[in-house]
Amino acid sequence: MTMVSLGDMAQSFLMKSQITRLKASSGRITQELSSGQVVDVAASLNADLARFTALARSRAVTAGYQSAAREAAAQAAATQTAIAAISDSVQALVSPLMSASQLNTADPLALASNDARGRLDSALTILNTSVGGRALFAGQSVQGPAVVGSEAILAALRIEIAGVTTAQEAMSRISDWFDAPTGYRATAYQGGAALAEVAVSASDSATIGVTAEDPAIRMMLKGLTAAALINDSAFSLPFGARQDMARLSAEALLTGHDRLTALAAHLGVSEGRIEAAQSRNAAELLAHEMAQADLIRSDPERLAMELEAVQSNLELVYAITARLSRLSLTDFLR
Amino acid sequence: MSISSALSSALSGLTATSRMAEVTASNVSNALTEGYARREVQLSARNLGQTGVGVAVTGVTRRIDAPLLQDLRLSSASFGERTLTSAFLSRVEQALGTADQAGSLSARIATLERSLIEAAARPEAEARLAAVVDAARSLTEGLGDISRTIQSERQTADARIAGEVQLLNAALAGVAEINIRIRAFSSAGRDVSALMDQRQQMVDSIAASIPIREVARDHNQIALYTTGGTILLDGSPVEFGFTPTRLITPDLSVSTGSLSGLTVNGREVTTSPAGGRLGEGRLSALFEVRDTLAPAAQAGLDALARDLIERVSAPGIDPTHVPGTPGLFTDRGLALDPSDEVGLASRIRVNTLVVPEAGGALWRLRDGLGAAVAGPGGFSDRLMALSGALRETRVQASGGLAEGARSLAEFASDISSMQSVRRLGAEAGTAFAAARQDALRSELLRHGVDTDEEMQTLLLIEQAYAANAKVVQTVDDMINILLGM
Repeated sequence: MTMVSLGDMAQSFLMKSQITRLKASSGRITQELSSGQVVDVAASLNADLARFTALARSRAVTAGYQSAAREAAAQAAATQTAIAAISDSVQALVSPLMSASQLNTADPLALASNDARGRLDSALTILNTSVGGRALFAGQSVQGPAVVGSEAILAALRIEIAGVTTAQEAMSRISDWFDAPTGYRATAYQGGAALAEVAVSASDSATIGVTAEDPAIRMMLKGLTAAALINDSAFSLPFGARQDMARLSAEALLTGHDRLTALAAHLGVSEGRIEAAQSRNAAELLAHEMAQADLIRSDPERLAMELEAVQSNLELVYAITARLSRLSLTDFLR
Repeated sequence: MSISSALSSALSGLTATSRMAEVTASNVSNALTEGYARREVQLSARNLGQTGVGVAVTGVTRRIDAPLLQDLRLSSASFGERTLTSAFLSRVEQALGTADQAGSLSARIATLERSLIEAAARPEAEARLAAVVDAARSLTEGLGDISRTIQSERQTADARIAGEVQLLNAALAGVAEINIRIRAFSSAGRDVSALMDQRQQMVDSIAASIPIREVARDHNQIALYTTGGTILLDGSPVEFGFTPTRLITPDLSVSTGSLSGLTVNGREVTTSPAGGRLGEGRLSALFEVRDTLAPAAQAGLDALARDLIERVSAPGIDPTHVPGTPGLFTDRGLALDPSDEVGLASRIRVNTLVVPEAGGALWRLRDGLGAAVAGPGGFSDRLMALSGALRETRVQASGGLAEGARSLAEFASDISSMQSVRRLGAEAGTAFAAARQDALRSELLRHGVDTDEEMQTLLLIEQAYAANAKVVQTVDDMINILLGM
């Protein structure tokens, strides 16, 4: 059908819908420019949210690992300090004992034995330290003490060595008591099973738990208790036997010291793992934060160009609307 | 006599031009009315025997391009349908949230995972265990909130269907009534243009709900059919029937009979797939939201809830837990029933055994749900096992996603992605339908009133009126000459 007329409203409808469309565009562009982020995340990622969600999740989870790693590092450091203190104390006792075992006077022996008693007390106190509300050497029973006091241990040992005839026999009885499940473990050790590994990153776990049941600590305690008992009333053996006892306890202390050093080295390896995990976690946190922001970042240059195009379009439409509104036959007929 | 016939011709010319002026005035006054069809006066020469005796107005016609109107109505229906669908999908997607938003589903899962890692590092700390319980509750509450959103969308759709059905019935009855009046008027020879305008508007309102075809019947009447072939009005109108449901819960559905379907004159009509007998319009979209889209979204959430419950109850994680009894996450306090998965997301709760305010104890998180007393504080095995359970990849029991093993976070992310895919697809369809509707509407508006043309016609009418009046004056003078002498 050939048209001889063109409806009035067709033009105004066209102009109106154009203007609405352009205004909606400029609204979206302004919002994206000011927030630096795209408005419709799913659309800009083409509905594939897997990577974006994974980045957000790993940021949260890595933060959790960082906090765990921090605590593990603190606990390991405190444990190292304690072990070093015990180790040094033990080391200092070795030569007095050795020399006392060779001299023929009673005084050095008595002195060394009293010194050993004092060091036993301080070693047991160190074994009972807690850091940050956690008992360091009590394993999973993190509230309670790790070991009983020196008097209780010595009392049990006095019963054990009753009736021995040689220093060798006394030493082996003391050693058996510390190793038997019914001896030290059952009566003197108050803690629980060793702590499990701590997850310090998505791929690493570290073992930081040392209990007072550890063979190295038991060896050290064997030597200390043996030396403490030399001057004890229950140890009623002749002087020669006491000298032997001093020698044997010094040997036990040396072995204990070596084993403690090995233990500290082990712990040091764990500490290194934790530190490496911490720095890796920190790098990951930063990288993931940037990657996540990158995925939904808006491009300011392209947006500025779009805004300018929309603006000039809008001005054009306004000008056309104004012009066309003046073009009407009715005006000319006046 | 010729002079008297000249007079009567001139008088008929005056009548005709007056009539034309009236129609022009009507057109101009309705220049801004949408749905107004431009009127045109049809003139023809009048004959009496072999002599012409002036002009006759044979009728006033409405200029409307019927195929164009039909296309516009169909595209309006399609646009209404797409808009409704994409609005619903968009709202569900917003309820799920994106991973950078703190309250989104993914963020809640990540918070739970983080709290488990921190608790495993310090299992004796009450604060850490409490944080795990808080994160778990936040997750179950999040799932419940999204379920509530989906069900309230169903509720709204159901209520709107009831409203639409009422309007449809009223409109069909109205069109039938106008049909009768138009037939009566046009049989009597009167002008029916205004009634036809009114009827066109009513049919337009019906067409927004259901895509229809208008078929002309005799005496200017019409019949209405849906594009699916169902009769809506042919002589007498049909009656749509629908019963709204007060409160909609996830287990209610059309297939079980607990939700009302649509009836036409008492017979059931299917509204799916793709509109069924009704065609694709707003009404069929509302049914689709209520019966297909919303339940599908709910099913995805329910599958996630089920996966969560199954993960933490897997054997080996908690030796103190008796299989078959409720685990860390429960179905309103009971164990998971695999056959009762619909609506699980709205019923999932944290087991009260670990919630202090409900009489439980935090240490059960660490020592096991069936533990009688608290164990050593540094025991971290249970917590590490829980943390691993959320992280490990397993094949989901339900959810309708592609094959493959996923961790809990990946499952949630895939559900969100699927929802976004649906939404983006619907939005693309909406944009296309909107563009098409705009183009057709603009085309139809071109056929509307053009005031320039009316002004031009008015000039001609004025001229013709003046000429006819002059003829009358001249004839009058001639008669006066004859009589006055």
